[in-house]
Parts: sequence; C-alpha cells; structure tokens
Amino acid sequence: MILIGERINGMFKNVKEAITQKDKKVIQELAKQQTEAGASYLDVNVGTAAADQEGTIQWLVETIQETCSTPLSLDSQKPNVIAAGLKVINAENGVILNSTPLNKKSDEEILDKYIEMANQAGPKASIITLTMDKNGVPQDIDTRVAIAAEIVSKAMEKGFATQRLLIDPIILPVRVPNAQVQPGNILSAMDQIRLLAEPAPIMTIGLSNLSQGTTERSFINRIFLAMGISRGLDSAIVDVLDKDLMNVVATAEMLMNKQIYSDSFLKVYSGTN
Amino acid sequence: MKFDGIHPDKGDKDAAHAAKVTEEVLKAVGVPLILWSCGNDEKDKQVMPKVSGAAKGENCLIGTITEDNYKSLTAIALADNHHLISEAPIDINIAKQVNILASDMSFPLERIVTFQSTGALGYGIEYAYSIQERQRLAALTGDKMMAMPAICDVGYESWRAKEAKLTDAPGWGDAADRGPMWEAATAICLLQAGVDIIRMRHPRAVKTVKNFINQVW
Repeated sequence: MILIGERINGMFKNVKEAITQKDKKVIQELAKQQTEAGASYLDVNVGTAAADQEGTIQWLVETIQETCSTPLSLDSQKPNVIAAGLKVINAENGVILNSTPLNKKSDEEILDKYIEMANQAGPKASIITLTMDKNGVPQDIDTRVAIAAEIVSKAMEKGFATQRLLIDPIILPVRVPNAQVQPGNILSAMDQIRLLAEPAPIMTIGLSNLSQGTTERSFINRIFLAMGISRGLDSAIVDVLDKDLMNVVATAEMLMNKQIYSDSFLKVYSGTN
Repeated sequence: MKFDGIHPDKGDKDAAHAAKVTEEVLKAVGVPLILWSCGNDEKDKQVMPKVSGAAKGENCLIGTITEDNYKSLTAIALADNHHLISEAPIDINIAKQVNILASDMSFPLERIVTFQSTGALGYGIEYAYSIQERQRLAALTGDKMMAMPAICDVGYESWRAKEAKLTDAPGWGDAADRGPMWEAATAICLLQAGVDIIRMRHPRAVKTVKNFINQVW
C-alpha cells in the first residue's frame, strides 16, 4: 500500500515552530522517523505556518532532501506553490502533486495545470485529484463517481497514465451533522471509480479528516482504514508514526492476500510506491 | 557439492574430511561452489562451519538454513563472506520467515537464495510451481523479503522418480532417453515458474535445458 506520511505539515505546532525558526533538525528528524516507520512518500504542507508559501515549501523540500531520499508529496491547492516546490525537488524516485479538484470557480483549468506540472516533473510524478469541482464537495456517491469520470477522461485526453492518477473521494469528518452516511458512500464510490479505467486509477484517502473533532480519533482512523483496504483502497495519507495504525495496515493487507503471511509479518511491513 | 557423506546414516564422515574435500575441489575448479549441508542438524552444526571456513572468501553459496536451525550457519556465512540458501518445506510463509530471521541477524537480503524442497514431475511439481510463482509475484509487487533468487534441486528430485530410472519397463520407452527427459521437463517447468538456479545431474538434460533457455530468454 502507498502510505503518505502526514507529519510534515505546518498545522502541527512543532513543525510550525521549526518553520518560523528555520530549525532544520525538527523537519529532518520527522523525515527520518516517518521513513523508518515505512512511509512510501512524505507529505510536505506549509499549512498556516508562513505567509511566503512558495519560499517555505522550497525550504522544506531542500531541508528534507539534505538527509532523506524518500519521495515527497507536495501538498498544496495552489499551483504556484507546487511549482515552487518542484523547482528545487529531486523527483528521481517520484513525487506526488497533492492535490487538485476537477475545476474551481476561480480556476477552470487547474487540473490541466497539475497534469502539465506532473509531466514536466518526470515519468514517476503522480497527482492526487479530489472528486470535487466548482460546486464544492459532493455528498452523494453518484456525483463523486461522475466527477471522477471527468478527471479520468481529462487524464486520458492528455495522455496521462491512469496508474499515475490517484483519486481521493474526499472523506468528511464523521461527527459533522448528517455526515455518518459518508464513510459508506466513500467505499461505494471507490468500487465504481475503480472501474472507470484499465488499469484502474489509484484510490487514496486523507484518513485523518474522518476523525476530526471526535473523542476516539485513532480508533476511528484504524477501523476505517481496515474497511477501506478490504474494498481495495491503494493509498492513504496517514500518521505512519502511529504504530497501531501501521499494524492494522499490515494485518489488513495480509488478510486480503496482498502480503504473504510470516510469523514476523508485522515487523517487516512497510509501504510500497 | 552436497555433503551427503557426513550424514550419520550415509558414511558419517567428519568435519576435517569435508573441509579437505572442499579445499581440493576449490583448487580444481575456477567457479564458486554451492555447499549443501546433509540435513542432519547435529552433524551439520559440527561440519558446516569447517566447510565454510575452508572456502572463506570464495564467494560460495552455502546452506541450508531453516526456521529451526539458522543462527550458527547465518553467522558463519556472514563472517566468511558467503551467500546463503534459506530452506522451507514447500511453504511460502515459512520461506518468508526464514529470510526475516536471517535478515534480523544483519545478513544482507541480496545475498540470500531461497530453496523450497523441489517436487519433480509427477511428484508434486504443481505445488513447487505454484509456490515459486507466488514468490516471484510477491517480489514483483514489492515484498523485499521474497525478492531473492530461487534455487531448485532438480537433478536429485527427478532421478528419485521411478519413471526416470526404471529400466525394466518396456511400455515406457527407452530408459536412456526417459531419465534425461524427466529431468529436463522438471527443470523447464520450474524455470517457467520463475526459478533462477537449477541444480542438475544428466548432461543430456542440461543440454536440453540450456537450449530451451537460449530460445526463450
């Protein structure tokens, strides 16, 4: 499974402080820990830590790559921030451009821009696309699938291989009123989105959003991740430092016959890319 | 080189003898050796360290380590700079576990070769085939603990079959052809499952298999 480590994000207090104080050690340590924990990619998100998003993502990328060769997931909804990160990145082992909706009111062509940037970044560059458009985040299954179909056809039209296309059906916090139907909708949408192309696009989720504001965050995350894996989820942005969560991934993948059982199967599990 | 003669029931030769033979063969040939233990844990523990030492630095493939008996040979192979054969009894889960155990002792994964006790044509080859195939598919999907070359003991297994060696069987065709064909068919089948190294016996079978390899790869 493709596991994208979420910890290098300006929304976390220690990362925010490190960005403010230009403290490389904190960032490099997080890169190392997440790599050792089995991350396939490291997400890099400036968050609200700095006004200069472009300069900060470049500093983060350079800081990480001084000591770590794990591929990165550049996390921004702004094409200019992604472009800034790509200028300084070594994308030899791959990079994920994370993420873009199908289109936006303010930018009808945003998906085209991400595809263009990914093509320029090299053959191992992929994109996370959200099943979301200028009308916002859909609540139902059918609209998610319809948007995904438009994303897939756009990628095909541009000659962008579907194996490089990660589709995120957007998971909403379960505690929001009337949102309890959403986790089930996500699973059903995934079943259909996978059929849109051959080879199928990669299904991914931003897991932690599901448990925002709940009292049992890690428990909710772990269980839903296992449920997703049982329905063919290929990728997730997760806290790879959560050892129990990683054990859930290893066990669920083993039970789905994606990993060969051995008595030490928990010990040797790590993500793939 | 299979050290059958050290087995208590097959000659019970001692470590000094085995080491001497190893040295002599090394002198006589210009290629690295494959050094197989006899399968009796007690005797292997006495003899194989001496054999390994006699071939120190010669880049040999030494084995086998098993789930229950891996520590001493792994340590010795590491010290003497050899490659290692990890053995499992037609069991993909144990194969992975043995590799993990060797890896835990800091033995480099790229120096391990896996061995599933080989079934010959007519004697369980379908099990050997599917397990080798599964191992290869796991490797191709990124399982580092399964991504090593595989060796098969085709000569030994094929010639255990009565179909390969029985001379008094007029309905089965000429025994002189039948045996090599049995061995070649076993080898070619396993090669197609993804096996990398085959230990063979009959020169005619070797010739047939080489010809096949040259045509296919």
